[in-house]
Amino acid sequence: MKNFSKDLIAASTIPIVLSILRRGDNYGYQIIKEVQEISDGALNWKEGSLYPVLSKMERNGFIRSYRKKENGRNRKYYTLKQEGLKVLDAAKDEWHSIHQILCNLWNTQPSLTSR
Amino acid sequence: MEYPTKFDLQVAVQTYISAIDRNRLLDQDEREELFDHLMLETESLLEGGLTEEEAFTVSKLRFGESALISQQYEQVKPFAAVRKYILSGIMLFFIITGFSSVLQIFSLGSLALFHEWNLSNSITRYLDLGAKMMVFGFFLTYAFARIKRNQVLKKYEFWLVPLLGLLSPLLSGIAFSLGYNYLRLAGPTMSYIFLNNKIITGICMVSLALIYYILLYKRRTHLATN
Repeated sequence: MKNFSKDLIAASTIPIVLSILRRGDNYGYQIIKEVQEISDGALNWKEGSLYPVLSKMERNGFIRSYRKKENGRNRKYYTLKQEGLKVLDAAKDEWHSIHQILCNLWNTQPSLTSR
Repeated sequence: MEYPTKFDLQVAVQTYISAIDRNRLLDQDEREELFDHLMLETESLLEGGLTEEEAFTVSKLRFGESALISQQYEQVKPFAAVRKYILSGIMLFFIITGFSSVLQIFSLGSLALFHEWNLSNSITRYLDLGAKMMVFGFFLTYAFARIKRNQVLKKYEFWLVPLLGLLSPLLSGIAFSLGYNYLRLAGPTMSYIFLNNKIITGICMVSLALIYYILLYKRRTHLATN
């Protein structure tokens, strides 16, 4: 299993969360499970660290939260806002550029495909 | 002989969340969100055959060190703690103002009764004391509800308490002007009653501080033993 550096994990958390929310509204626990599933368990966040990030994203106006009753529990869902979409698009450009630069330096063919 | 204590999952989860929220920066919504996550994680592990205690221990490990998460919340809400103290100070000011004015209104009421109905001195004092005890009871109820983070109170107090705080001196002013004659005639009874007001307001503030520190001490002991 790959072990990503703390800095890389920190830098990629917001784009990853925004990308998951772009697929549809979601809640903290499920976001973590989806990240683990997509990365085949390679991206293993400390689960509790996601919540301060979500709080920060909400304060910055990237996402909005609402309550939904599920199985007798009041669950907090997050939805992507227009501002968050803009941030995600900008992040995608940046990550593609960095990827391109590194591929050029290492003489490898870029394999990231834009969605 | 010592008996093993039974593991209570709900209490364990709440205690862990309290450790994360040691600086009291989280609102109820955020606490419930963490609770939901930890319960979901623990329940999924229980399906795998672990005991409640084992499942919760694994959930906690996956969730991360409480001190670290607490620190991350502090970074996200850098001014929350300062803002909380300033707001609490303002609220306390309004509570004291409102409370002391309500006491004065009650005193004037007792004096009016004393003069209008020709009540004896001791009956007036008992009436006055009874009314003040009632206000004191309301005050203690408010203090407990505030410290226990009552949701209804939290929702309304930010406009209700300042409103009462501002309204009460106004009402007390009107009561004073209307009751000027009573005040003039009152003499020693009056000075006794108004001295009483200040003592009771002081007792209320000391009680509030005591309740707060007892609950804080209990919470810390509870966290330490867990």
